[in-house]
Amino acid sequence: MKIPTLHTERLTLRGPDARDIEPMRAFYASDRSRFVGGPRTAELAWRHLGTEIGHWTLRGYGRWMVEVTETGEIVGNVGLWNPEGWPEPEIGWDLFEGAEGKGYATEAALAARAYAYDVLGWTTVISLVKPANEASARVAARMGAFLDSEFTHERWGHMQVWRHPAPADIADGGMEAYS
Amino acid sequence: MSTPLIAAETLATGRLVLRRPELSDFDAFAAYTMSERTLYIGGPKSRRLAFDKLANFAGHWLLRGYGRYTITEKATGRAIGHVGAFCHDDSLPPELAWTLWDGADEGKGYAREAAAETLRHYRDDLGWTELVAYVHEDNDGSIAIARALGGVLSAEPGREPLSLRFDFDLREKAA
Repeated sequence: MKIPTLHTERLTLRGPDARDIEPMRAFYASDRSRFVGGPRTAELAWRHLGTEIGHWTLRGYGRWMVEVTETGEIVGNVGLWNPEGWPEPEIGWDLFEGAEGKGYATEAALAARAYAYDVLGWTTVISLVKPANEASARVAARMGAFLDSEFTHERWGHMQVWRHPAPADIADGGMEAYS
Repeated sequence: MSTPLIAAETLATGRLVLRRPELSDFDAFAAYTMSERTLYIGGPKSRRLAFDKLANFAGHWLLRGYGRYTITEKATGRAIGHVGAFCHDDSLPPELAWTLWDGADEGKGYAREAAAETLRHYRDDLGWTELVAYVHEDNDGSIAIARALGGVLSAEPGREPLSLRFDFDLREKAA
């Protein structure tokens, strides 16, 4: 399938591809990946990139690589994720080293949510957050999500389920996310 | 910006059609992943890991331009296994795999037929010069296929403690 490209005010969300091998290896080699299954070896990071791309093929949606539009810098990996074993489809966000504190995760995740609601027609979506991952919980809260329930994953263990507001409950209606 | 496809998306033999993996393969692939048929490759593993792996098969196509095909029976359309080349390590030649998902499909020559067609494609259409295959030392059926396809047992160790490495020199057109 052709992976759509989304644009926000500062960011471009594009399909992951072979350019992303090094950024993904670096992310999974770092402590920043500790809440999402890392650190992982270079080979496992490479395999995970393949799995992320193939999720688009199998599900018809998936995660994007996030670039700062002005500079082309790859700052994270954000999008819609629903592998076998997930309780329901979620919006996930990972920021790479040095990209935190600028609101990029929130900005990209809002675009992903708008895509889920406006293009895919979803009526609800969650985000799974490890309890110790306070930065991620803040992103969920900033997006208007609320702590809904808990979920224990066969491999990743205990996680909070944050539920996003339904499409009708998002005050400003459609996002300007994909111009 | 995905890597352009190098390999044919679909290949056909007398009895089989090889095509890229898709979601409809998942139940059969998961049943295989959770079965004892995966003992030689470190299984059985969970349905969850089966999804990640099938997604990886599909994603590999977009990273490398080639990858593993789902083997389907031409007469019925049924997905019965996977076959084809993949590469998780740039320092190694592509690796060829062939697997039937259900023991009931063994004994018909399907795995060999499928693997031979992919080898033909890589050699004749793509001009590849080498491939490797890793086979568990107790997997007699797969060892026989490796030899029948022209694989030569390597002095190099396999990746896993009990795996054998077979080298395929595709410059020899003698098949």
